Amino acid sequence: MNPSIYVVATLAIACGSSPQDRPALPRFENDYAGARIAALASHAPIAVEIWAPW
Amino acid sequence: MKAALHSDAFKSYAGQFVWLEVNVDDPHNAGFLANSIEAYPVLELIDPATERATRVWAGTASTAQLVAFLDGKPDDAIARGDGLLARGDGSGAAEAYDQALAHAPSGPAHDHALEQLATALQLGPSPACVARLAKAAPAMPREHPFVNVAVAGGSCAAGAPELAGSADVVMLERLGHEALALPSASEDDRYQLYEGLYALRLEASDQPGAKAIADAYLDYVRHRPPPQNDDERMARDLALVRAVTKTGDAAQAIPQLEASERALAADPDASLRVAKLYLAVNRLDDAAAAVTRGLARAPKPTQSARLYGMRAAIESKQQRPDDAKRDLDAGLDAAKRINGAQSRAATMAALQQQRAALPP
Repeated sequence: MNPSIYVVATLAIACGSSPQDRPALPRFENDYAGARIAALASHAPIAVEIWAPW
Repeated sequence: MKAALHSDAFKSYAGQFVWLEVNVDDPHNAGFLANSIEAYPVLELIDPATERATRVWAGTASTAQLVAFLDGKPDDAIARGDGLLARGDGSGAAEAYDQALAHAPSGPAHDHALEQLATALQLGPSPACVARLAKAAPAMPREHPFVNVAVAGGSCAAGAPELAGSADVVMLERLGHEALALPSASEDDRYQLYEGLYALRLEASDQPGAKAIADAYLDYVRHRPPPQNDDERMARDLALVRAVTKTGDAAQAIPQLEASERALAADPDASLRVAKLYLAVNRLDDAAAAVTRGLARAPKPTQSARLYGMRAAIESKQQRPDDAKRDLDAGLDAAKRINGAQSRAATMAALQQQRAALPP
């Protein structure tokens, strides 16, 4: 399966805004490289959920 | 954890992060998962500049816990422990969490350090984990961190059968029962607690006690509400299979698992689960056919290895050792591609043991 981005939004975090005000950042599946590029661009950490399918 | 991460209450916090979901069994993730903790599910925060994990949460969590986890600023020792834990360094992480405990002798920070310590200790020798958690857990407030520690304690105790009947194991078993009764214990927590408590009764050579645990486990599974999504369905089916194979009620669960296999049409594990039930009631041809359907569902390496191992077990019962050997060799080939080094080694060892038990 090819890595896929299933929500695309390239939006910067507004300085001083509350978490609730911030626009959604991108979500990725099985694509660490893509997630890292997006995180560097938006100055946000990556939250990684590692899961087993069973 | 997945339910908490996808809850409405959590959504407002999710926008602070770039989110990445990683299937541990997908070969695309081999590089990312190299030298990573092998405990799932796990949530990590990674600094994209250094590519180092700055926080890690393994196991179950409530929405409130995840919000606190993402909002919180941990002390240096916790942060150091998390970084080590994310890389699978259990002993280094435990040392750091011990320092965090020294800084926070009570309160939420203490309890969080203790649940992180429990995760770290699970990566090391079981007897040390048993000894530490049996002493540390009783004084904890009966909130979710206590449940996490009780789950870890039960797992460690089950991994140390030589300690059956010892005061520490008796204590952890008592704490496991306490955790089961707590409203803060999640459904996944309860499944794990039942598994641990069942194993401990078996290790104590207490068959009636084990049967009582299995019956309670099955009763709990059977009284869950209908699943709201595929993840819940898979989790409940897995728990049902585990419970009925302990109680001897496999036949009763077959219709539900057959329906799930049809509903989860792309899931190889749905076929494997129903194959286990067929095997349990000696419907060998049906079991082999279910495994074959699973293998046609593009399984990932761990799933393939399990399916081939299952079909080899069926073929062995059918007095077909050559077919069993062929499937075990295919399973070993698949197992070589499993991402986690420990998981890979354990799966390969199990398949090799299965092959060695076949007639020459």
